[in-house]
Amino acid sequence: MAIGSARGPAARGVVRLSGPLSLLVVAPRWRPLSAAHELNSNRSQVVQGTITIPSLGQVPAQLCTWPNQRSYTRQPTVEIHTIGSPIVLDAIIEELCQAGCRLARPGEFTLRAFLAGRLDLTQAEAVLGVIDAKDAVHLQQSLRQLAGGLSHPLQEIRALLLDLCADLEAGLDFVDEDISFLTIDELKSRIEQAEHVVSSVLDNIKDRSVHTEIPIVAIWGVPNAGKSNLLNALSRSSISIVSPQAGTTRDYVSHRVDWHGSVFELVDTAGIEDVPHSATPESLAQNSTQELLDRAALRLLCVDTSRALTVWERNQLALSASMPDWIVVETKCDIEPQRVHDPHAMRTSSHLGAGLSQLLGTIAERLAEASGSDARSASTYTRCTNALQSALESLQLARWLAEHDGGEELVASEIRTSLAHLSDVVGAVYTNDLLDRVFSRFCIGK
Amino acid sequence: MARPHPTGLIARGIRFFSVLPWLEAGQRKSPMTVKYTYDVVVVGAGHAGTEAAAAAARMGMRTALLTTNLDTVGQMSCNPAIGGVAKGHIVREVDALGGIMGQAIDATGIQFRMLNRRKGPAMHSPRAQADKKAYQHWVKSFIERQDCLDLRQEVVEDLLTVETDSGLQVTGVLVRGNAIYEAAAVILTTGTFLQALMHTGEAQSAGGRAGEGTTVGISRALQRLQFRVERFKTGTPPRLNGRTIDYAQCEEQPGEEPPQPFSFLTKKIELQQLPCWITYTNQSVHDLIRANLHRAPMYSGQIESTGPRYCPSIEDKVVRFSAKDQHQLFLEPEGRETFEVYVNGVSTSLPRDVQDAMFPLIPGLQRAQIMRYGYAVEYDFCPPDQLKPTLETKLVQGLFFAGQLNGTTGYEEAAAQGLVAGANAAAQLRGLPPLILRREEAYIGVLVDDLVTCGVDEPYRMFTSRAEYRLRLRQDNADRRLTLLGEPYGLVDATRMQRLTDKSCEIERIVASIEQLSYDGAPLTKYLRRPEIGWPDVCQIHSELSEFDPEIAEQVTYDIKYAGYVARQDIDVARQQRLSEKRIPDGFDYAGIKHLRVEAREKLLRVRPVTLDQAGRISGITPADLTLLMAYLK
Repeated sequence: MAIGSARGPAARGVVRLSGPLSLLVVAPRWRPLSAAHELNSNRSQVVQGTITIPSLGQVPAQLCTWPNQRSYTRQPTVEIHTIGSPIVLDAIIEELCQAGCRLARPGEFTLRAFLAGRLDLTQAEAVLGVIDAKDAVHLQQSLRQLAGGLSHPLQEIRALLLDLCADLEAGLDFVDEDISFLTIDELKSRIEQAEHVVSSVLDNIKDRSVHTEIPIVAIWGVPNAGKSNLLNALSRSSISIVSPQAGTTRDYVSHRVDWHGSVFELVDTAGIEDVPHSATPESLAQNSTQELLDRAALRLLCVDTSRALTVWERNQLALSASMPDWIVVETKCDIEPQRVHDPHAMRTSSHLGAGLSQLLGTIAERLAEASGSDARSASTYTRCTNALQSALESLQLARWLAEHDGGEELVASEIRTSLAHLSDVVGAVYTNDLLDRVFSRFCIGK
Repeated sequence: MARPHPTGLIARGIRFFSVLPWLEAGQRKSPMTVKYTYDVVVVGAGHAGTEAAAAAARMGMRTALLTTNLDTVGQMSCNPAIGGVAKGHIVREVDALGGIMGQAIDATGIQFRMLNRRKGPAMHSPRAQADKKAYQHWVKSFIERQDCLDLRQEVVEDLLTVETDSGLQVTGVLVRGNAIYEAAAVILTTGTFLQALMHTGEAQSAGGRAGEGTTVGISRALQRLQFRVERFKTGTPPRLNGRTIDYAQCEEQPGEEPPQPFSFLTKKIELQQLPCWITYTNQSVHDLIRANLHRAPMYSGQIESTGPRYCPSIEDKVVRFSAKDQHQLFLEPEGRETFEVYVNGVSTSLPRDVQDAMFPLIPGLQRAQIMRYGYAVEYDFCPPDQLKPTLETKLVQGLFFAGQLNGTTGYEEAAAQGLVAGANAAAQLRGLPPLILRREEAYIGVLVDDLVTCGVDEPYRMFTSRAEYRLRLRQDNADRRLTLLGEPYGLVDATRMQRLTDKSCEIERIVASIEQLSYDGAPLTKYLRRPEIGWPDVCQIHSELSEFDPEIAEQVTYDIKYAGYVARQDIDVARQQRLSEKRIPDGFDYAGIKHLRVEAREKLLRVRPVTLDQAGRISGITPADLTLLMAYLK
């Protein structure tokens, strides 16, 4: 969910919600102008009426709905068009947060559109340019992570095909030269070689299946909330591997955990000081803690049941209900078993090892739910796989043509098609790319 | 019929005297300025200029074609050949639109070959050696015979313009001797003659072609009008006296029998063909060149401008491809009535003594006498991204540029641009829609679009690889692609239209017959799709097919073989088409797109693309930039 219009007072403000449940969240608060403006979950609509916001009452609004996949993000989407007052918009946001919505991260709608195959990578990058650079860092990172693992082998294939295409084109365009650009046997064997490389990248992708980045689960809380003990206890009760990726969590104690196939990085963060000091080593540590927390897929908010809550803890607990990526963990439950800070919290005792498997199960469940990472990598890989598969088919056709004397211009056409398939993921081919290759390799000169 | 009218007889509102400051200053007091009135004035009578003038005249415009020298109309400044891969396609297209070039070479060629015969039909490309002088005379007399067209010897000194509400408008040209040619459209086709400088070794001389001068007035005018001007370099090889060549030591390269004509109007070429000859350079030649590299203007720093990579000088070849121990040389006769031979492959600007020392080392040329030395020429061109797709300049209304002035090389590329500029100048005056060929319609479309969209960073030559839809742009179907498009403009005459109609009818009959036949239980068309099967094969199976014109039938089989590929490309074409319907308004504010990359903004501002499709083809514009642009256009 995000405010989709410019900040500051304006005639019209827009709040946009995207996600499977967006319509369900809005529906109970919607009072249609007339029966014609009832929400219908089967088709896209523009309807008039009012939104009920407890702090404001009835706010006149227009809803634009895309209940199915035809929205920008390919997820059900609702836009609330209303008065462009920051107060009204903030109140709506607050109310929707209460209802379980989460504020979108910068560029997240675009990211979702990209993941849904609605935009290609370069298009997503374009939209990225629209988002202010500072906020865009996260999205940029995620895009890089999405494409990074594959772009290298894909670039290699592209270069291979470009070279082959350039040699073919040279033979077609420079017929009077005393150069044999490419014999038919060489052509066949180079197409075969390209096929081989493409299929091995394809196999490689299948092997790596869905995994790109391991989600981070941050253990979080005031000093002495039992965070380190929880980390150790959780690692002991699951398969724990020392992280090979030292860089990601260098400044923290971390363990990679595999709980029934759900792999995540469990990280202990620096304790949150109740009153932050300015420019002390501690506050610096907390800056980097904040960074880690932003990257984390889940936060385990640890509260010590053996003592009373601090102000910070009380504030956080109040917020926790509207934070889908937080899990409240009550620690040291063996010391004062009667004290409960939050009825929805997971209760644990690192000392007794109690509540740990439940907690691990919940973490695994939440990660699967958030599914951001799984779904996103899966869809990128699907797109790459499709591109490579189509490229491979064109190459097979090219080889068939070469073997059956089908004309080099047709072989070239298939190789260009194959490059075009790759261009969905690694950039288009321009004639100059080809000509540059021709002229740098052959002495053309009639 | 167009005849020049002295100024006093015609009442026109515009006065030109104010733009002639030196007349007022009294430097060269002249009693009276003579004024002639035309619709279109073409400056330069090379391959671009003659096509431009003839096209405008065919469309009924009263046209003046001005050249500094009536004896060099349609002159082939460099190699004595027309066509070649992709270039031959262009000649066929120019012809399909009623142009001169195809008929001229058919009438004056001395050797014809269809290149790339071993490749598929889309790659077949005609090429012919020309009798240079005969070619030139044929073109000149064609121009002389053309209605509505006056060919005059004049030296153009200045371009005349007037400021109007909608910007600067061209009004004519001033010529030496104090005369004015008044016209609402002026087409400049000045070739390599702007600020031209020739180099042979350390020696330099002003001039665009050996023995000729350079054009100063137009350069000054272009500067004043604030056109961007850049510099290119090109070169030409030495010419030898054929009587001093020992052909016995060379390979013979004969013409093809029967010769295949360029023009859709030519039924048969009757002329006797002459052979060309091939010999090779060797290590000792390369050593000599290497030892004298410091005296080559390209390497001594005397020439700094860019030359074409596909037509390197011999010194370039030796340096860049030092691993090659020999380079091929083609000995091409310059005409039937002369012994002069053009040595294709040894373009050079090395000093005379090195050129003299080089040939005695080459088999067959040991005793060869040089008749003209090779030289390099540097010249001004106007980067063509300053043009609209009609080849009209963006700065001055009614002013068109065509040919080498736009940074291209080649007679064929020049002719095509001339035709486009001439037709569009006339279309504009007659209120017809512009004649803009699309990339999937013609090589000419690819050429013009590449020029105005991408500009040039080396002299531009056409290659088939530049045409993404080349499978449909065959040399044999140029008439079917273009003649109908040219007809409503008046570019093509009744004879051409009749030829096309006859051909189309025959094609329909052939297609109808084939569709009813089968072979081996499958439709005959399916059998024909197999790469190794041609028209003679199916004639053997179904003898009734032999009654059809085999040449046209062959073209039908090409259609069938490529049908699948063409259909697949149709999807791309349609997508391009949709993008080209998204027009970018004139004067669109690119600065207003906050997040556009600086490089992209500069390029878009320079080219000012007309459509999104065009914007997407500007080099350096990424799909990402395009998406942004699209978002702002909505």
